[in-house]
Amino acid sequence: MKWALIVIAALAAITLVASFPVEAQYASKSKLVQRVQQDPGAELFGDAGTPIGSPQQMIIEDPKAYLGSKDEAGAELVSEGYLKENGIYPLQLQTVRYVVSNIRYAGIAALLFSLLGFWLINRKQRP
Amino acid sequence: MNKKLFVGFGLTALVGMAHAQMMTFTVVGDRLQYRNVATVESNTEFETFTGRSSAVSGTLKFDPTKKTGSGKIMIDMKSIDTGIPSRNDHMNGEMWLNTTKYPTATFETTSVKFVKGEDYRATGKFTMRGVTKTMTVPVKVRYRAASEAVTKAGFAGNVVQIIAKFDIKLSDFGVKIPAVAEGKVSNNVSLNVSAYATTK
Repeated sequence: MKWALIVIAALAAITLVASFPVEAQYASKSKLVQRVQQDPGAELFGDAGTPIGSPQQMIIEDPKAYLGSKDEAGAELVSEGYLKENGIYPLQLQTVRYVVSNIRYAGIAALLFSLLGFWLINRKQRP
Repeated sequence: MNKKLFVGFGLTALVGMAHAQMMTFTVVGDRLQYRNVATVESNTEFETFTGRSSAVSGTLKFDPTKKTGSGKIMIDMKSIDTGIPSRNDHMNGEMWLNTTKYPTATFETTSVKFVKGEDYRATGKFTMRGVTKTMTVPVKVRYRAASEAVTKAGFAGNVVQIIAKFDIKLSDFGVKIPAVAEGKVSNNVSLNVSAYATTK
């Protein structure tokens, strides 16, 4: 029983510690992007493209998706057409953060469970 | 002399009236329809997803000189694509947009007020999922008279681009977000429409 609790506590601690660099790695890869549809209509009105949705912090690793310019808010313009043609559904940083925070909650819960287990075992073993 | 002046003023007024006429525009379809973009965006802690359609139709009246107009815009709700086929199926379902029973969302203006530059405030009736609400939304109206550049861009005649963005609550339109989707779909969603309409 004690060994099982040690394994759980160790895994929980590793998960908790590892979650920080994992999140940081995704955050460093992400950029504020605005997906746009390029077409001659938008060009006629002086736009690089028609915005699709609002600017989002996304992880798009294919450099060909970027149009090389930014919108007024400083978001990198990304070709919606390129994403569709290549079947790219970009990962959002907020999704990564949501998943990581849930993993952290689970890690904390597992750590507390292990500590509670140790405390109960020690209490039983007292003369 | 006075008679000549009077005739001169009369001609100027006539020319002005000719320029100030209300024009009727039809939202582009067929080969140009892809240029229209209607999006619905849901933002939750988990993700922001955007459903998108090009199936926008309707007619507009616009006077670029008097800066006034009116219009009715329709969006084919069934054609909204979220990027995930199973999510599209859910969204079309009875619990969500129920597109079989309510295939279109419509905005019909009752009054349009010029704000500045290309900015207007349109008040009108927005109907979605069989529920009609009166709303006032900011609209950008951009006009280009028929020219070589307009033709080069693939349009015929005069062209306007209308850009509107407004927020709605799904619950106001009879959508009850099921417990399983809470946290993944927001009750507050943003609707954006960018559509081109021409006089020919």
